[in-house]
Amino acid sequence: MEEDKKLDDFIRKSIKDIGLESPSVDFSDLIQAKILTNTNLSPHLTYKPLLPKTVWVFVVLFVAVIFAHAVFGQPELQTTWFSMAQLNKLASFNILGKIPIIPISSTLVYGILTFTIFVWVQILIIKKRVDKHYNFN
Amino acid sequence: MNQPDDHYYIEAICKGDARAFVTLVDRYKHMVFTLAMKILKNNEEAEEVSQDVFIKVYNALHTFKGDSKFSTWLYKIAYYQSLDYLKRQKRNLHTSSINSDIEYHLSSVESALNGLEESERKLAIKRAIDKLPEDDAVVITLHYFEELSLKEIAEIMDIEANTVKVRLFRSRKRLAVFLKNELEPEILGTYGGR
Repeated sequence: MEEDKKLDDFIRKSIKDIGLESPSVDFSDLIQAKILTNTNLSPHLTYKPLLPKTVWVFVVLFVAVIFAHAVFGQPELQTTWFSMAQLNKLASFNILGKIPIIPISSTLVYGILTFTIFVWVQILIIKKRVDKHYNFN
Repeated sequence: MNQPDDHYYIEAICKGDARAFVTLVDRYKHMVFTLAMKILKNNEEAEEVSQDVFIKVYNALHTFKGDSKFSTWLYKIAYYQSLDYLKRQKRNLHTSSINSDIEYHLSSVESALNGLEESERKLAIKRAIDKLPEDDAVVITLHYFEELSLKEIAEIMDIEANTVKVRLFRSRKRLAVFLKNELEPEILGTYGGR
């Protein structure tokens, strides 16, 4: 313990003795020049909302007016356009019957399956490689 | 006359006074450069990384919340920027094969060191530090130059405070062994002179 304290004092004194290392003399000037010439560098990025407050006020007013009209305005429901759309035809529309039947050979199915497996294996290998390459510690 | 603290300049910069940043650069450039040197061991690379560190700090200054000291935040960026540079160069951190249990007889090392001219003494200490593995040199620099606490060093290096304590203990001993090796001729001379 005593020895460690002595070593601590000795190292402290030795380290203070040599001082810190110095960068080039124009170090600060270079940084200042980079900061002042590049207008993209800015520490004060102010937050700008996507929609300004005035737009939000209009949106709220618009929704409120629609809502008020729906509740208090006694709107008349007209269904004439609805009957014109002939939506009842949709009920008898068989989409599955319209799909053409394409014959697929077993070889093609095996090929697609093998290709899928290879792609999957490659993704695993690439992921492992990337993780290993870009990981510290 | 006391200069204003870091927060004064940070506020000025955030209000648009870019020139205030130069004061912070002048205040911390030596430490940032020294940290980069300890990891990269190359003057030009350390200079390049240090500049990148300050530009990065300037850009990210609005995200600094002041939870920790500005210096701790800055040194953390410097440490990781240096490690990133090493990684981009496909270089790894070194580990030391020197056993910290080797005897070094502190009194002989100390007297041999004191017997040297000032410039020689500084050179011997510098050479011994340069032989330390990068992480050991960083711990030693932060603790003895900056007088940072174990907790602050742990925050910078993203490790446990206890790990810092153990690393500091070993680094001290390793440095003493390296110093003994550097001063071997002087130590032998001292014994021969008796």
